[in-house]
Amino acid sequence: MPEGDIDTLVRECLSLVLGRPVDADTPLDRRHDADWDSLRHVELIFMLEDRTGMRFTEAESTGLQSVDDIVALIRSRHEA
Amino acid sequence: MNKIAENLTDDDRAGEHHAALARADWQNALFATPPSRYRLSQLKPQWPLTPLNIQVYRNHPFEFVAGQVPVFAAYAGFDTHFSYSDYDDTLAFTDTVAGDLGILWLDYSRYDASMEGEQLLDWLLERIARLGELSPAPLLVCNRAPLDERADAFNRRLADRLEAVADTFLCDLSAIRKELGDDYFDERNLALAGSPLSNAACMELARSFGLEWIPAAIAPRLKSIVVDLDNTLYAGVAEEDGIAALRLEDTHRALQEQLAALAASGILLAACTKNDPETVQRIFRERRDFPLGIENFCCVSANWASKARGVADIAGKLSIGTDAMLFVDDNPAEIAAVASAHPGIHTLLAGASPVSTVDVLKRFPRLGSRHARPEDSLRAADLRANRLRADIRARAIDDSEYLASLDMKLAFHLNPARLRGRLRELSAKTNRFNTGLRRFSEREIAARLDNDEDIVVAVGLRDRLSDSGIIAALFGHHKRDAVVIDEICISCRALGRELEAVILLEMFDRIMHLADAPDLVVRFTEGPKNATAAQCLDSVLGSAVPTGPGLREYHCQRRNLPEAPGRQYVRILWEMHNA
Repeated sequence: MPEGDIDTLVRECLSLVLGRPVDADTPLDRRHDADWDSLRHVELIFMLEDRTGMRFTEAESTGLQSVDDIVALIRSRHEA
Repeated sequence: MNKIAENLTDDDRAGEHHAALARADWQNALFATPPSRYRLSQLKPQWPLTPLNIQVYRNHPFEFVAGQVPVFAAYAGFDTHFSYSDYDDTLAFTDTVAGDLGILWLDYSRYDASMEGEQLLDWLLERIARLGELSPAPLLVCNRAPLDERADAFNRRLADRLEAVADTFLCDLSAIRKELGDDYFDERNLALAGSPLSNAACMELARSFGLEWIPAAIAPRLKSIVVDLDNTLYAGVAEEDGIAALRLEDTHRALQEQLAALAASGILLAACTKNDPETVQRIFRERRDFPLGIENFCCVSANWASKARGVADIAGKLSIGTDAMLFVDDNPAEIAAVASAHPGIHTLLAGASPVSTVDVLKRFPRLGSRHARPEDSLRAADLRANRLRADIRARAIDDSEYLASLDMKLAFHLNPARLRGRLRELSAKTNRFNTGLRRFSEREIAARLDNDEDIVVAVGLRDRLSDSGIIAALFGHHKRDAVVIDEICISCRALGRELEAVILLEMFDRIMHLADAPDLVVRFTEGPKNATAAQCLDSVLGSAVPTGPGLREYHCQRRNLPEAPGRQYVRILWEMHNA
């Protein structure tokens, strides 16, 4: 899957979970976003697993802090 | 065409049309195994919803489940909003808020060190009773999810004991746990957010809450399924392919077996088909391999008129509103046309493969048998008997001969606590003969049954053709020298046997005698449909005194109560429960 498609997919899922638009190219980091709390984070993980068919480990799930982190993880799984 | 449909504007019709098709579009996402969180998040309801405020009392997180409930509840017609208590193992209910429904969401393992088995149940039931004092809202109580003998024993006892508590409903988490096995838990989430539930568990629990448990606690069970025949109950078109060529695949067999089971649980099964009546008779006579027989159908509309008209005819024959019906058809155009003509009717688009129809029916809101009552299964037999009664009446020389031939028996039950659920149903559902329109909750009725100053009467009816079950209720109270009647309701099924005056006068006379009260007051509230009740009271008690807009009172002294016409055709029995 091209990186642009992964970025679009992650932002679409994040938008559905947060209930607000998540524009392309806007850097998003859960440490600086009050809406992206632990509940939403678990929902996002569930939805991404649903969409990609991947399963993330506990360490991976906990370590994901930003859109870029998530895109990088999914890309690395694709490349593996 | 029914009266409601005649009054619809074109905009109304278009709205119902689109809503029915949109709901059909949702079926694949809502009833998929497993449901996809992504697909569900994209669904937005295009039909009006009833707001529902739900208060969750908890000792562990519910948000992961609650987040997915709204989309399922929307399909059932509800707009759910959740409020949460603090995490409170003691269930102190210090932050109880008014809501339409409560959910008791407990991790029972947190009590393992301090209480077990019956001791835990005693404490839990005491807390539930306390909550009942603080909030009149119905309560959903979740059982233990883990799979072991101790949890099974606890769950069985919890189910037994909740039966005796008004307005409480059990949510069977253990059934979902059994279905999902080890996939019920996901240890990652314990570390991430303090909940051990997996995505699959959250989705299945949300689906059960939204489609089954919440609707069952809030709204009455649907009364009837109206089903198409060709390409729905079997593959093929009878008139074109011939009856012998109709194919009964395994999936059709499963659907027919499920419909037969629903009919046995009290759902009135009807067929609405564009076929000749003789063809329909031949289908069920010649296809002995079909699980369904013609005897399973309370009513068949077989003709070439519109299905909207067929549904209206069936509703008339069954004496039920179309909003208590589920219409099942494989043709989206028929679904849309019926929904346009009958606002409020429930619709299900039968799939190309009926497996999906079976899956949808299993979970369809307000269709489950968890709140089925004995009266539900009596209803179908009673309606069949109505056809025989009509034949007998047509052949009788006069009304006297007809009524005498029925051998009717009325059983009056004073303060019958065990009939609480049926009494609530009568108060909630009756329209034509309902004098108070109070719509009492089960908890209010339980309180009246416990209070010495209140009077509650249930009336059972049977004749030589059928047992109609409990068909009437009275709610009243003592006030100095008078008995005051707050509400009397009689089921439509019992109307037409000239019994209304007999039921009323027998109840008035007996409860005034028992209370040693010389005076009777009957309060009446005018509604859109209860003119039948007003006419009966007028005929029995004379004119009433207005007491406010749409309100009046009938007054009568015991010594002036008239003889009930038709009393000689009925045998009467009284059963005192805690009088």
